[in-house]
Amino acid sequence: MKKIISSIIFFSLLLSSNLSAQDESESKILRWSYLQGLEYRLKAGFNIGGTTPLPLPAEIREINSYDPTLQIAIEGDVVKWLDKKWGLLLGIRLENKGMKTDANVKNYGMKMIAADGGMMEGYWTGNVVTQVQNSYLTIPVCAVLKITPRWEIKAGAFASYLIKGDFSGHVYDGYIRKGDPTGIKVVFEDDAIATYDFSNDLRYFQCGPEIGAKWRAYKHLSLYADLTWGMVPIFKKDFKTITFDMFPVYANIGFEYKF
Amino acid sequence: MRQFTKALFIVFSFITIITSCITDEAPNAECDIIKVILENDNLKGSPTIENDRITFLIKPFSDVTNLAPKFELTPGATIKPESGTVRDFTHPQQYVVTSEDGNWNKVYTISFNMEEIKTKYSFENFELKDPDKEKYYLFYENGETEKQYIWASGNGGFQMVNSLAQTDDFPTTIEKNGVSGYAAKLTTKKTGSLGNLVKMPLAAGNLFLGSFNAINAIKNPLTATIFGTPFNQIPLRVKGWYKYTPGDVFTDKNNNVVDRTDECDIYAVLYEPTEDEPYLNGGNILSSENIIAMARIDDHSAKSSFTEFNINFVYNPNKEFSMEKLKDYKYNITIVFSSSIDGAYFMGAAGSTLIVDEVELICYKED
Repeated sequence: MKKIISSIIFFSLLLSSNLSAQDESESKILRWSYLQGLEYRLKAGFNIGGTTPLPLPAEIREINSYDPTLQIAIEGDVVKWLDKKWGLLLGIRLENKGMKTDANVKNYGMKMIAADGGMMEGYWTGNVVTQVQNSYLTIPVCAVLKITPRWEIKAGAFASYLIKGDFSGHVYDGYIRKGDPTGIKVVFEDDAIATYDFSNDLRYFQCGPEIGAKWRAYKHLSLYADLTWGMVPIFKKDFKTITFDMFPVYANIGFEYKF
Repeated sequence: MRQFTKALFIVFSFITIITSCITDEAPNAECDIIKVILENDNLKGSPTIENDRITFLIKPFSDVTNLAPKFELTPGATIKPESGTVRDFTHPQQYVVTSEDGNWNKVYTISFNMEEIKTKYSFENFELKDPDKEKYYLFYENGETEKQYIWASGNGGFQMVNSLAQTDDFPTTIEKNGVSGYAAKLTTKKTGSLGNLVKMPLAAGNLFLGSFNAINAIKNPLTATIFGTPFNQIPLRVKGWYKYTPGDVFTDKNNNVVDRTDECDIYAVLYEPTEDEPYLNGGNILSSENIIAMARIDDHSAKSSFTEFNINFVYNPNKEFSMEKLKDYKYNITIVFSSSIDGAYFMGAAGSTLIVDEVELICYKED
């Protein structure tokens, strides 16, 4: 993923330097595009949000800490203007959606699985550290409305494909009831932790609404903020260990360059 | 810049939503008997509370026909019959505990064992702990009127890190070819990757008079083996038969290979439980100041055929021995067998196998 992102950055830099070097052909393409009502944009920003159940279920008692971690999104858009105000946006975005939380939970479905099949499944009461780091290839499709020369808002939908997923963490300071709440109680305290990894249970497909707004600071440069609200539970249908559905809800803020 | 402020606002309100909408706590789903209270002068020691069984030891000829134990439960849980109900415990009685949310219940069996514990052990009596969930054998002794679940092992801990384990996979199991009939077979086993994860790469086969407390199995494994049961006779010797084959590769706690040959261990301890040390466990069974007498084999090495052991209790000169306390069941006795002498510290050789049979605790007889 990092490789892909860095190569995109590299190519976009290359592209921009090429464009300035080949000023003539650049303006030709852009002029042609302009006549067609097409506009090209390159966006880079951060995703800040959570992969979370909504609303928070009764199992989660307290968020001890939340760290949005560094989640990058790179996007290329094409906008087809239909008239002076309205346009259609189609894009492609490579993005990470992730976070790290430490939560206090009660009767939280939990399963530790080892490579050779050893496992412990049951209900956990105590603290859970969750680290999510999912890389998606996303296609956003939006209607764009230019409110003023500087302001623009958009609304639409996105569809994502999970390239690489990581949903893992550990539990500490608490106890597990084996199987169900009537099962044997096993206490984890002090240094005793148990790790878990549900990465292989993540669903590949994700989609949901996307809304956004941007403010043009300079002729080519804008600040933007988008919100993507995943509507598909992040885990596969047959994954029952975590007893509630979780959704990726992320704000994406950053800079946009318009060619 | 306003737009940026707005974006920030969106982000912060989002974080606020995430952190502020903690819903009301759900009612408890657990249904445990946490504590049982019974005022009775004839009780020997405190009761053993397991996940679904509570065992009281009571002096012979006590009246158990109208006892009213009181219970402390998981907050919100209810029990039927109610706490404090008078019942006849001539036979074990069942109680149903229902969780606060009403979705879960658990049946507890409460028994009062009145007979003196058996002192001759042939390991002919065993049953599966739970044919569905915990498929390992439990040895018990047949008293005149009751089954005595006096033997415990670390199988419950092994099960935790190896939930797919079948009966034969457990460290403590049965052996068909004993000295006579069945015997107890203790084998040191690797616990697999989950065991490694919780820093318990190895489980020695063990069998002891006492109980196993799964709650502590991962937090502090040494304290999970609770040794001893109240006893009122003067132990003199422990004798029996054993056979021992050490495993090939000795490993330490971190699973590193060590140049060492595994050894077995057989010992018996009489000790005085105190308020600070109500039970001796894997951490202090051989070192506690409260030990009154100990018998332990000298030869921990391999024995290719059944070999007799006959070990004398050596009384601790620094610890006062009170006949009065003994008669009042204020002392506990345990006998411990282990297929790896340092198994409690997760050191040993996988495959080390100790078979024991026809064990007898010989006590002083007053005529």
